[in-house]
Amino acid sequence: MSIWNQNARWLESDHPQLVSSIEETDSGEVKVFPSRQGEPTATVGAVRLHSSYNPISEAEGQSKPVDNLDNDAVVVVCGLGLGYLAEAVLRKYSGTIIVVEPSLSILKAALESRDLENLKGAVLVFNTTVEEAIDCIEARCGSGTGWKRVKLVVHPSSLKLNPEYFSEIQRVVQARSNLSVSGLGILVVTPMYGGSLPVARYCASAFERLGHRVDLLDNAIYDPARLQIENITSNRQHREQLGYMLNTLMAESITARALDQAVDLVFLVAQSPVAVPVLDELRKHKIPVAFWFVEDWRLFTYWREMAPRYDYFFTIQKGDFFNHLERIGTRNQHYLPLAADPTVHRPLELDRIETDEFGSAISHVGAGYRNRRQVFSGLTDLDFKLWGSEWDTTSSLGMVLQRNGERISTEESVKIFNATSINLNLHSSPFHEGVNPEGDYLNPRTFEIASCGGFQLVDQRQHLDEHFKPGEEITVFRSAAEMREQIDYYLLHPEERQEIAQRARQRILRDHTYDIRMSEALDFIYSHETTLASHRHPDHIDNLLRDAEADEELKGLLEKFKDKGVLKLDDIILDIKERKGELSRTESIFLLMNEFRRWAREKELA
Amino acid sequence: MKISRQVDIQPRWLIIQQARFGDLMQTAPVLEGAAEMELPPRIDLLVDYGLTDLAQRLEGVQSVYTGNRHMWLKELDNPVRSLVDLRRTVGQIPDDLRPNSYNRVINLTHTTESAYLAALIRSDFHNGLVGHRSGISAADSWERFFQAMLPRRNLNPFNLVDIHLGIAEVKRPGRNGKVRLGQPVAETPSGFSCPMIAIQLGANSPLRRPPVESIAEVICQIYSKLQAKFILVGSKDEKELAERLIRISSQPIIDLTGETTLVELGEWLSRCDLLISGDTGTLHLAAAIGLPTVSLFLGMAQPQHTGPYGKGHIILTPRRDCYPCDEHCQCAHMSCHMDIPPRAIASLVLQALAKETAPCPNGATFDVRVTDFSEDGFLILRDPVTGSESSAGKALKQFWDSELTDTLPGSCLPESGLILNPEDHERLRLLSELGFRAEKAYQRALSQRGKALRMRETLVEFVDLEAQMMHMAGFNDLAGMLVHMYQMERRSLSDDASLESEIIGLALGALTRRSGYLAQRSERSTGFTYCSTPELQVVSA
Repeated sequence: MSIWNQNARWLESDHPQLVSSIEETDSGEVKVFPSRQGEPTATVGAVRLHSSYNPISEAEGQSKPVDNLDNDAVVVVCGLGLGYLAEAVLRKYSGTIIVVEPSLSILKAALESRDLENLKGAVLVFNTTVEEAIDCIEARCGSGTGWKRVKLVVHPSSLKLNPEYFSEIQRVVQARSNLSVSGLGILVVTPMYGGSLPVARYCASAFERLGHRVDLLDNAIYDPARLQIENITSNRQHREQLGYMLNTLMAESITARALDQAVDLVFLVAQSPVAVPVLDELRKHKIPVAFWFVEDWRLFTYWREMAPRYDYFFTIQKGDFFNHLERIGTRNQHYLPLAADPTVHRPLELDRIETDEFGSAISHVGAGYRNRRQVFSGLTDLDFKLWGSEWDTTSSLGMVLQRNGERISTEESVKIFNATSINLNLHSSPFHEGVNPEGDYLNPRTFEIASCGGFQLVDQRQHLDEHFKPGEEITVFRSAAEMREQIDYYLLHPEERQEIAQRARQRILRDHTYDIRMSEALDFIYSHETTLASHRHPDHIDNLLRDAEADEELKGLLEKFKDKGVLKLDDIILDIKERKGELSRTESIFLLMNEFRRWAREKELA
Repeated sequence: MKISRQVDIQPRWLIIQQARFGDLMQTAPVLEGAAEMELPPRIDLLVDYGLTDLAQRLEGVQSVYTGNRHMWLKELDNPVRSLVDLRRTVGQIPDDLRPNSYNRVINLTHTTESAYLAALIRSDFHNGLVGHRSGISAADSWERFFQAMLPRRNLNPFNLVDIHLGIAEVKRPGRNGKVRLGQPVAETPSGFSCPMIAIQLGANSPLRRPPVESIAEVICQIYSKLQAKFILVGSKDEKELAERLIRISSQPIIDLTGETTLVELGEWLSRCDLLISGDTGTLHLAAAIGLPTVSLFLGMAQPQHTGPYGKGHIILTPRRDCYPCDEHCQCAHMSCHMDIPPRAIASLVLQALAKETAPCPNGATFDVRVTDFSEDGFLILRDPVTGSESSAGKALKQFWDSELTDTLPGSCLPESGLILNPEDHERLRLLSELGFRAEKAYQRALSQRGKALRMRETLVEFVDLEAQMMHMAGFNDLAGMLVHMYQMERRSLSDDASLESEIIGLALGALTRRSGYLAQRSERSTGFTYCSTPELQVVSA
């Protein structure tokens, strides 16, 4: 019986499909030949897969990372080669071992040249995508803090042959492991007003749901001050100066809060107030700053000055924009489309009064941009309700405009999306008539209408099909005429509308929630960050315990807070007060310190 | 051999005084009093950083320890310092003191912070505030009185120095309360043949500060009668006031503001003949070294509480309804500052310099008082004309002295002198009744040990009565003070749960006794009232 047949016999029981795939595979560039010690070795093109002298001894050295490993680790061998490294790990370690190999031709060469039946003791992840490999690792290590148990042992030649595949696995494992520490401390900074204000709040809620400690610096409280500036003076220079001072106040609050709360990450969205010295200060304290630029880069160009100053720059557009960002030295840019928050954007049971108020055959919620005015003016013969500001009330659209062009709140827009038969979603453009042929990002409404279970007609956008299947999950028009045809059709076919809307909502829940986006953002950030900012904080419990090494009493007091992250004096005081019995010396000193701090604060107030 | 034995048995005390300059000087008589004890203790002093030199000059002090709170404050705000680092820094003072084993730690600072510091120092006994796990408690009855009195100072008949002496369990020193500042380190210029008058313009609050214009007028009036020399003393923060005074005065004035250390200030004062001041640290330093003073107690300053300790000091206070004002008052008019005319101040200064004993009458808008010691050794304020102190103050002093000193409580209660208004009387009568019922309920609960249900019911009754007492505290100052004392007494043994029942019983007994006695001090005394027997009786109306 050939070596392949022997291997195929044990492999077939768990991986029948794999065996037939390997049989159909060509060995390609893989060349197997005996090493000088007699064991088989191989090359793939110009890459030497194993030592041509002694592959077993080489694998012994490569498997050093598992020496003296705790038994609860999950060892992931990245790259099978001809199996030497996996075997060496199996000899040394008796806990869970996962062997990952994406290449069928290498698998074929290995299984044809060596008896690998002892690999039955490992979990084999062969010929899968990165996502499948990650799912498989998570199934073994468990989510959350389980990722801390994962130990990667990389076969160097396999990494050379499949750098993208293995680097991605390394990146994700590193990110999940970094993230697994009892939640991150994230400071989310909102703008004072505008469309990105709710986006920042959705991000904060999503981070919270993902188990992180969120500190929300909600600058909406300063919006009355901003408006007041307009009333103070008609002098433009004075207004600018006052506005600048208000912005400085909000920006400086970021540093103050980030340091006070010992956060791991500062997360801002477009229009969140910030200033260069603040970013410099945060960098000095090694607190990473991420910025989600949820605007059209062609219209809002402040990214040119600011993008390179952030540690992470997320965008809702890619392509050319990325070339520009790279050219100006932006670090770590990442495409992160908008999304919906299903706890806010959700199907509603509306009563009769609400249906009458918010419902219509067709509607649009949004500002009166040039292309919208032009396209929608042809719809006034229909049961059409137009919601939002900046519309010309004297035009024919004035007849269908609701509430005289007031701004519509999020809660109301959710009711409108629910109560409307056909929601029109024409992306804004100040430069085009009708549909913008170059439009590339998807506006929040695309996701929000779908998340509400509403039916929408949306204009054609580049990359739309990456998010929804046109025709099945969403209906797309390329011109005003096509839009009108679709309105007429879908008004007569309510069941089709409902089916598409339901599929769209399912797609949102699967792929386009803020939870998913924020999870992706954190995965991206923490595949670059090697440690958490809070771990560098002098009061992080690990640092405190290390400092207190020589003081048994202090160490004993601190050990209770092992999982606390950054410790505050208040935590210690609360704990001391809850305990019983005589005060220890260390406890008394902390109580004294607390009183001293109180004295200092009173002095400050006085 | 004998001598070394003497050293061995010499008690060792630590006095904590971390408050300001004036408070340190109001602590000095404790050192003097201790030095006059049969077996004088060896005393170490713990003071705030800026007072080290002055503290070292106080006679009878063995070692001075200091805590630099301003340095700590800087460290607390330093983002790179960890809690472990800070624990080391803040723990440094108690760590320094650790090898010393004290017989007594006397905390005269009255703050929570000092209470936790006191708790860190090994000692056989503690006096004053001490920190515990659940909070702070007063280790002696004088400190409990002080804490209960603080929010309602108008009910306090004692000078702060007498309270300090009470807390420290030290008798009033001889020498009329004067202290020794040790030998001067440098020769101070003098050689003036004419009288030298020191003036302190500043005070820790503008409300307590005599107006510069008034002082200029005082100088003018004195100078017209007596070719005196005037020197201005104070810190560098008071420089502006000094410059203003010099600008508006035509008399020669030496400005020493901001130029002297506290020790040098003491040396200058010892060369002077009199000090004019508000209620300030300089006033207490002058009093401590026996320099005659004429002081103006304005705003919230109350002479019966913080008047200069010593005999013959002259104090002027405004006479108006809003004086003394609340500790946190933000007065917009400060019109009490105009109640004391410069002519009256000048006249009192001249009289004091001439060492005249002629009475100096009260004015239409102000009162004059002269400090003295009563027969039982407390500092009192006498009316210079009648020569007497207020009868209510005298009666209250006797009452509290009997309650707070280590004699049988209630054993020497005054027969008269204190008459309560009807509202006070009614509240105290009710408080006494509640206290009596609470005490009985508590005793019943204790006797029902082992009968869980009945005991719980009785305890509920006790808790309810206690809550009614607390409620009453909010309506009346006197009742409030007694309830506050009760609360302090209940907490007095803090973490020692085994003594809880005894403590509660004693505290309730004291509350009932005190409120009953005070309620009796009314001409309208009817109904439920306190009798000198341990039992309480209901007297029919």
